[in-house]
Amino acid sequence: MKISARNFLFKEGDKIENLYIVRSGSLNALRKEFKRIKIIESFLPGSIIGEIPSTENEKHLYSVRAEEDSEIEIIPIHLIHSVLQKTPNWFPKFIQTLQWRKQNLICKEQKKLAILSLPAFLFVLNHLIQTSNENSYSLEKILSLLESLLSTSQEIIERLCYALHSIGFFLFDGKNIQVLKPTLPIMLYDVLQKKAIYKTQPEKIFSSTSQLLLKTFVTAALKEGTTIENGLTEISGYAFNQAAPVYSKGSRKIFQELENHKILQLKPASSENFNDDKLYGNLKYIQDLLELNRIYPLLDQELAKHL
Amino acid sequence: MKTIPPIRKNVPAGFSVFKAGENPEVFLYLESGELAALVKSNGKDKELFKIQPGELIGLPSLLEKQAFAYNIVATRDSSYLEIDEECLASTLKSTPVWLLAGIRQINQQIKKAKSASLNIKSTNVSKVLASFLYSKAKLRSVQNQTPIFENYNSLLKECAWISRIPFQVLKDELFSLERRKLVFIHQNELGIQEPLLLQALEEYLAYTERGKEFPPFHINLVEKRAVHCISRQGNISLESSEWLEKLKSNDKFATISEVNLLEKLGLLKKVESNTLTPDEEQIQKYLLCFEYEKEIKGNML
Repeated sequence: MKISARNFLFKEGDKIENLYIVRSGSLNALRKEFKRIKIIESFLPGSIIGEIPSTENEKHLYSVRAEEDSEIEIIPIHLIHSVLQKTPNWFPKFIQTLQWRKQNLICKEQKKLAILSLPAFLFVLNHLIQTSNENSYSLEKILSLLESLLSTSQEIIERLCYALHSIGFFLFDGKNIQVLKPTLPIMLYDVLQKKAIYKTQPEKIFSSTSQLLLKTFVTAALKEGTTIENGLTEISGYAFNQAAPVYSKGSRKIFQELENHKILQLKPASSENFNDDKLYGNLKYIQDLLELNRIYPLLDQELAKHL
Repeated sequence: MKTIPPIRKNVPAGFSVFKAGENPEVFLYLESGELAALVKSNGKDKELFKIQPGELIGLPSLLEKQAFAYNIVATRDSSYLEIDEECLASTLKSTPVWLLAGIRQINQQIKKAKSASLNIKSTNVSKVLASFLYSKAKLRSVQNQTPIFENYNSLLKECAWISRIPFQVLKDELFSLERRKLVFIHQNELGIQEPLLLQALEEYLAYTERGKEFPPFHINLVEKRAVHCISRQGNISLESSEWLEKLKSNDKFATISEVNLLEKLGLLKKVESNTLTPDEEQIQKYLLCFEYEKEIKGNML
């Protein structure tokens, strides 16, 4: 078969029907990544184009276009199957297992690449959050900034965005990222950086007891908190206990971790009764911290599941 | 062509086929019975998966010379074929050339996929560092802080973490930027006098990578004079014809093509349908490029 320069041999999404051998000329495998057409592989004489499909209805993952007038030999899939039928019984399974291993490895590597891209992705996202007044950022813009930091691909970053969307980190519609809590990516970057570089236990990640206390504080503050200066909200010990679950009533001792980290301040009353004490905290900051504490443990398992 | 047949083996239920750590350089094709892959967990055997008739096990042992990662035991009386290198090679020889080439291609793709995550780091260290430091300095300026960093080692560690480039490679590059006067180092401190210079360097390297000419280094004298001229005008909005007048009063050789070029390069930007206003940051970047061309290009010798 002869194919003229600039003509397509097949297009991305077409059903795999043949295997092709390049006899002369040259062809390129192309994939569209945003406005750019990316050459992902080049085929010269002797190259095989396409794959031996292990199942029916498998589709091409890229397009192939002739870069110059080329000559191609076509091997129909049914011929491949009839040749395989004449081989020892273990041989078709050998090819199928090879294909499966390849797919499995590619999938694993893509997950790994997406996870490795997370720090640079957050760095770029934080840069945009801190240097603009918007809360929506195009993937195209993020990719153009990421390009200078890492050799990653649109496909990998898209996967990462969808995975982060799935765990409720932000909203992603395939083109734009909408950040609902702008401080969250900044806090997460900080926590991951400290853990990775300095191997320290992140100080913004709290025990489940402290998280429960913070949740109770937020519930009580939203119900009957008083906003005072410096963005602080004040609640009484009584209001806290009213909002607290039965098994987690407040006492002065249990706030120690949060007081040490200056998240909550406890002002004891002279009556020695916790109900008369006052609790102070920055409500918005605490809500962001709680969201960070919700997201952080999901990164280990849930994120990988969605990638 | 005669092929070398595989070795058929039988194993009774409960017996071991291969132990974890062994590398027999064969793979198995189970014909009948059932095998299981087990690992030791807290002193007990934990079953990972079962192998049913018609399935293969142990491909990495032959193809990549990897030891078995788990114990393989027969959970029923089983019969399997053991395929070694000679058997595989002789079978491959008897297959058509195109099928052999297809298999070889899959193998190459497996090898490529295995090293994909190693290739995530950019090969252009200078571009990575310039981009990272520009971003850091820009954040400082947004927060009204001076772009002086107390400890450049911390910065480099952060850059190494996000870019996967080794710390020492980044450190060497930082000193190269210092020699080119694009950053300043005093003891542990790092100063960035002109963040835009780093952005210019990043852009220059990106253009060079793509084999394209970096516009600030490829404009002629008349065009350069035009950039200097608009840099002195402040924040005014004028129509193209008025800009031409301004340029002409500075340089008699200026034409409307200079105005068009300034707009194309983003030095003049449209504010309303008919008027153009200078983009101060872009102009500043161009002026820095004119002044620091040698330092940006890095050919100091």
